[in-house]
Amino acid sequence: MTKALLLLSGGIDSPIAGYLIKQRNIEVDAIHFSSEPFTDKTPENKSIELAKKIQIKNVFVSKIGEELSQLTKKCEHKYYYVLQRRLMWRIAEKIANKHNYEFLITGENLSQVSSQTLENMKVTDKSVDITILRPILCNDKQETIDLAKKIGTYDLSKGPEFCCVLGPQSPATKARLHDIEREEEKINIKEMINNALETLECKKL
Amino acid sequence: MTTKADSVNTYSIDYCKTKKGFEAKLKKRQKLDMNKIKQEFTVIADAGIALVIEIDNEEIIIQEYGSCLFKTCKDEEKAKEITQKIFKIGVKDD
Repeated sequence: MTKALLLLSGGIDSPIAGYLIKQRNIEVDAIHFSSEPFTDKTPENKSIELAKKIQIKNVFVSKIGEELSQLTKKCEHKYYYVLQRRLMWRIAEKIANKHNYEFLITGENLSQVSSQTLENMKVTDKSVDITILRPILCNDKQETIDLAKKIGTYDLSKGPEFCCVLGPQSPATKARLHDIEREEEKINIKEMINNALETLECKKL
Repeated sequence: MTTKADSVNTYSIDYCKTKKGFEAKLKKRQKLDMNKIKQEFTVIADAGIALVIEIDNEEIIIQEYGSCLFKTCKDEEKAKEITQKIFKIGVKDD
């Protein structure tokens, strides 16, 4: 059976993305990236509950708060979301290669967050070789909300959690690869990935 | 003219957007002196533009642009007291 790894936050979109791929007879496990201590345990707990709801059996939890703080300290802040995604995808790809997941799944969507643009996605894609599945890319927000209500993830996703405190108020929407690569020269990506992998936990549900 | 004392005392405190915890915000948006805050309080994590500190057994996330998110404190009066302590140190002199 084909296996895919879902990047699961505590929000509305990613559980729906995972659910849709599961409907295609693909085995889905998840990875949650925790930005503790810049948030509390709530997003992680929500992710676990959401994973249970869509019948995911394994959730990897990667604590990358320290790594994310390196991005805000050393790199141009407007690129934070692109750099964050490239880091998360690289970590996810390492796990995928080790555990035979053929795809990564994300809940990226063009109608929502200002940093989720095609230009930024193109730059993020360049950070990994693995194929990225984006099953709700062109959904209307309401379409996703309606499905979340139907499958019972909406109330969990809408539950309170501290919003991201590390993101910029005006993120770059048209990042260029050479600018991002220049920013990444300021940090030690390999070390960051290794640190994240060392603290990785796998929760069996 | 707004003095430092005015700024320290002019903030709002309410639940944050998702109602997870209290958030105190300076009414006049201004950059806090994060270095002074770091010197004065126990720092749990430092992201430059944001700090996680511990005061009176409570964890607080401080954002550079004048906001404090209370991770653990559920008592509004205590949150106000802590906010005053942070802004007194962090609001820059006129």
